[in-house]
Amino acid sequence: MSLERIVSRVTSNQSRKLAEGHKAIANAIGYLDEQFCQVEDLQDEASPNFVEEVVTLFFKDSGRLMSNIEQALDKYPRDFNRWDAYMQQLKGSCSSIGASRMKNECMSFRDSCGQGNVEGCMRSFQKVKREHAILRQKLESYFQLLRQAGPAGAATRPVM
Amino acid sequence: MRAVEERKGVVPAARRRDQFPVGMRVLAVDDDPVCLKVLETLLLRCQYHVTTTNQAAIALKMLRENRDMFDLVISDVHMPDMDGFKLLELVGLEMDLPVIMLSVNGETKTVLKGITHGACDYLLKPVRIEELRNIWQHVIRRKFSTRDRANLDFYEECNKPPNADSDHVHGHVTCGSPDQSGRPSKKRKEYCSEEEDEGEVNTQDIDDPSAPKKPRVVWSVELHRKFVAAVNQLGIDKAVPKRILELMNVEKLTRENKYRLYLKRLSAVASQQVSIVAALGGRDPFLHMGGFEGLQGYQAFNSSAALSSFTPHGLLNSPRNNPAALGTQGVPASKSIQTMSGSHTLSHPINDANKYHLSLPGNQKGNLGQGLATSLGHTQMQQKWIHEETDDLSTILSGNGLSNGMSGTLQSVSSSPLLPQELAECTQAKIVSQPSIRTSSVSSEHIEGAVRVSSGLLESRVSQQSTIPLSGFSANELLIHGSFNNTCANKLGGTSSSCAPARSSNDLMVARDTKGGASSFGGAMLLPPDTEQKYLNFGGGNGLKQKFDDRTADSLFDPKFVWSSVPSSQLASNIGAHHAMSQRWNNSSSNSSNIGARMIGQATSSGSTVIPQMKTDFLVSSGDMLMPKNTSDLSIPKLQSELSSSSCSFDGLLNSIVKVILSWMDSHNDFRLSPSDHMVRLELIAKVHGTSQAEEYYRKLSTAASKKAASFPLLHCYVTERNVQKAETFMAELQRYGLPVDPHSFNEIMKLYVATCQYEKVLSVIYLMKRNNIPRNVLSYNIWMNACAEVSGLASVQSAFKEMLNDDMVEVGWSTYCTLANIFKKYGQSSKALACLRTAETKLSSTGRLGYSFIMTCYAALNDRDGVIRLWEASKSVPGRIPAANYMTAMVCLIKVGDIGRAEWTFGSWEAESKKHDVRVSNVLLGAYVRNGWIEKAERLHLHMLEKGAHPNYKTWEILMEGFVQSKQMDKAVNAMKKGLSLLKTCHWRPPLELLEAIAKYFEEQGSVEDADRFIKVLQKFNLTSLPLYKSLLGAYINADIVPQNIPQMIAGDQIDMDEEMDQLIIRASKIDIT
Repeated sequence: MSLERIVSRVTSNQSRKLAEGHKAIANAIGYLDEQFCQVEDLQDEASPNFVEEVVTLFFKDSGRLMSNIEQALDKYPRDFNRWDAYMQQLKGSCSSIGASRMKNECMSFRDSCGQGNVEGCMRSFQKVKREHAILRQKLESYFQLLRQAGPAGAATRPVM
Repeated sequence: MRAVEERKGVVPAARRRDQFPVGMRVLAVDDDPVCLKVLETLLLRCQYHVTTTNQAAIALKMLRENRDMFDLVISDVHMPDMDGFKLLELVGLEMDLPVIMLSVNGETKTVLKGITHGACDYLLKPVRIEELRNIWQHVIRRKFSTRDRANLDFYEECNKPPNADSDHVHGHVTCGSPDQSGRPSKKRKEYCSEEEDEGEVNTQDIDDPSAPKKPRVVWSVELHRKFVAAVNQLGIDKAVPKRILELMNVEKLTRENKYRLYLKRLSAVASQQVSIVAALGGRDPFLHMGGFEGLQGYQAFNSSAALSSFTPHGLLNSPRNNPAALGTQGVPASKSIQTMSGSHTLSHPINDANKYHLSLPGNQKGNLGQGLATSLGHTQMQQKWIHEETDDLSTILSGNGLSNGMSGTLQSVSSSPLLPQELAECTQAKIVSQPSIRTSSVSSEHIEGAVRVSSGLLESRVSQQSTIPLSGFSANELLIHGSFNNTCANKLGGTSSSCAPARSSNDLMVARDTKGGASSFGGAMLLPPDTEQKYLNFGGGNGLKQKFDDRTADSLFDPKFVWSSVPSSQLASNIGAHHAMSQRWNNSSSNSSNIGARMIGQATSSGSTVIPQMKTDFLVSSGDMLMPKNTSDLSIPKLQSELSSSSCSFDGLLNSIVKVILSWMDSHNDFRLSPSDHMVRLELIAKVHGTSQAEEYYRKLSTAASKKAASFPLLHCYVTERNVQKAETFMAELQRYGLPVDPHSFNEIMKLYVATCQYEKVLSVIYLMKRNNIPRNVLSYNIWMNACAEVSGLASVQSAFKEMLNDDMVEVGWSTYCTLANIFKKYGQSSKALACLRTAETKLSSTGRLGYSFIMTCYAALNDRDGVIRLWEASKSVPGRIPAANYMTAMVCLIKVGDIGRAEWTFGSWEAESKKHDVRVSNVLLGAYVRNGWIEKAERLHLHMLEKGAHPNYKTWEILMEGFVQSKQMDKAVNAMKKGLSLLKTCHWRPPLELLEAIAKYFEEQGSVEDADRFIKVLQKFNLTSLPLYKSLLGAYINADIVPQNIPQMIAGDQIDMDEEMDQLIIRASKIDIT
């Protein structure tokens, strides 16, 4: 997600909270990619809370997927195909909302699967979980910020 | 007709013109709710009309129920309920909608799979709106191409060079003729202008009906190679259609061509399901992985296939050869049925003596998969007839007042252009077109085969016509149309009445008629599922009527209707119960009875009517039951009772069916049997009653033609029995009737000589063939070279090879290079062997798996790990599902070259791919674990398979038993043995003696008398006791310091002779008693 983009998004209607805005921007950089912008673009009058809905859905579903993976790691040792299939689902979800860092960890998990590297899988999965938690935190604060800026915040941002 | 429909099509389209693609109806399928939500919103943003679902099954249901409700489908690849590829195939086959695949996985393999399964596009997640804005073009393309193809088809048929090269001809695909399908390409003109914004020049798009038509692109093997090579070269990220096309550099090729043609082809690609392991015989596949041996095995199989009047090539084989594959391949119902019908129309006439030309020689097998072998070849053939005979057809039809019905029919199924096309084929194939024989000129053996097929077919049709009044003939056709029109009731009456005279006046053979029935039915089965029910009912009604006719009018029972007279309910009820039987059928390999195979094939054709409702898995079993059910309609209740117990063995079942048919044939000896019928009959007799009866039958044949036709199956009997003397006498006898001009009899006898190690005689056969100007085929040369290697050394092999290269009649293919490689290996020249294999690789077809597996095993024999891996990876580009047998071969090879890790990985991918948990695949890995002494790993794998619901076979238990013995876990070993023995009902397994003795020895050393005793008792039950085992038992008593009881009696009871050592042991044991 480009800095400029986030600046415009966060600062458009809330110069008062500039300091916090910067914080949110700094936090979001690297955790999200252009896909997130595309998702944001899809938000309009018809669905004013689209981004938040999608993100909520993402966290709900990715939580489920991650617990699936956790179970599979435990229940089916060295069943790399199964692990890989589950992780692919998670990766799909991540890429859909543009959760880039999480997606990268998913990919390294899948690489480990391909190499038959159990250690690597475990390590990557821990990282996926961590990224998941961080992203949740970041996005929550981001939405909070947007809500504080008022409903107009999203709708009136400048077109890029 | 076409012109009218086009004009009609313009009107409604014009109204929508301004809006399109606004409101285009898209069905989005993804199990991932996040993706689906984003995708939905993106599509809405593009102003499409979006329907979403998170289950592929629901999507399919929606599509089936509302055929015309969607313009385009976007589907995720990975979905838990149904693989996206499967959905793709089903959609592609049932409704001809463009499908875009969607996946997070951008691996070349997966994308290729999407393409080969017929996706019109493959998008990577996350999808961008720019991509989605453009997807409407696929809808337009689809409509365009279906329309355009018909013209081009026609054009091509007229302009096809008579001597097209074989690959070209084989790769030839004919597609729908939408003008007949009644699905006019609406919007065609309107969207022309919108078409070009993609920046890709699509030569096919801008077509003016008045402009000269462009020849259709033929998706030949060559093209496919280019395509795959281009994709590989570009890398999947950059492999956009435009660039692929640039690289392929083929004139007039558009991406539309590529996908659609390839889909068509895919469906028909022969899955050479021959279990390589089986084909290579029961011996250690590594040591004896001679190209020749495998080939021989395969060829033997081929010839049996030929005997059963099936053409030996892949697709036709596949239903019998590996019904599991057929069942689970995900080949959607209608497609496989098409195949069936194809096989029948094709195979039927091949009863002719000429048919042996279809039993293709080794080399062509690779190619076989491509063309003739496939139903495409068939399609093409029939299509040809259609085009050439269009006029005739219409006159015949209109002459019978049927033309209205016909077009009505076609229109009524207009929503799915594929279907009517097939229908048309099916119908028209039955209308004899003599010109087609003359027009095709022969350029290669394949073509020759095809021509023979068609001529054979024509022959039989002609014979029908000659005896049946035209009204009767067309009435037969009417049957089919009637069903489509859903006006069976009123047409049926007319049909039956007009059929009756036809039947009583014709003297068609049983086999012939049954096949006719099967094929006509097969065509009809292409109906969409909703009409299916009606058709079945119709079939049933017709059957009843037929029976009535038979009993009252005492006319010949026309078995044609036997096949079609199964009410669906009956079938449905049988299917579940007999699934087990189909399983067994799966396991029985190519040595299964020819007749059985053939019967099943036929029965399958009609049985598969239920597929849309049932599942393809049951294809064969339904076929099985279908047949007996109907046979019982022939007032032979005996069979029915036999069949009603579902536990009866499959072979037994088959035999009883055959017997019933034979006796039925006997009781109707007013049939005049044609030579080919004699041949079939001899085959049946040999199978059921044995060679001597077959000989007897052969002796009674009166005409030379019949004898000639029936000679091959008899020769094959001798060869199978390895009866050299009889085979030789028989060959000599054949010469008196004029030698068969084809090489197959000679190959047969050469195989016999090889099997009996009389290599010199092979050389004399070759000499004889040369002297008599009998063409040698690839197999002849391969056998010859092997014989040379055995007899006289490398120089003679090389001269034979040189001769082969100079022989214009044969094409040196991978099988020959494999043969050479094995010869070099035998002579210790590994580098030359590897070079041969490298060359063999270049000769591989991209449609048959056999060659890949074969070369792979050769590499394994040479311990070339890279070669094995390369071939395995390359074989994945062969379209279609990879059969379990191929996974097994790959695993075996990988284990052989010491790469168990990769074998495990391969196993994993098999597991991910397959729905059934075939324990034979895991046995391969299990064996490797045990041989490496990794018993824990083996146990884990075993448990894993059990968890998955696999049924261990005796081999599983034997492997485990061995592993437990190795690791001294004797309790478990005995348990495994017991489990294995508990399967004895279905097989003749005996635990290996050395394992039994090892267990007994262990108990002896440990002095565990109780265990040893229990062990012996188990073995006693199965008659497995032996003197060494008893010695160990006694030893156990001695070591445990316990007095044995009854052991001499037990030994006597088992009728085992004592020896001196045993006597001494007994005394020793008794001594302890005394002291």
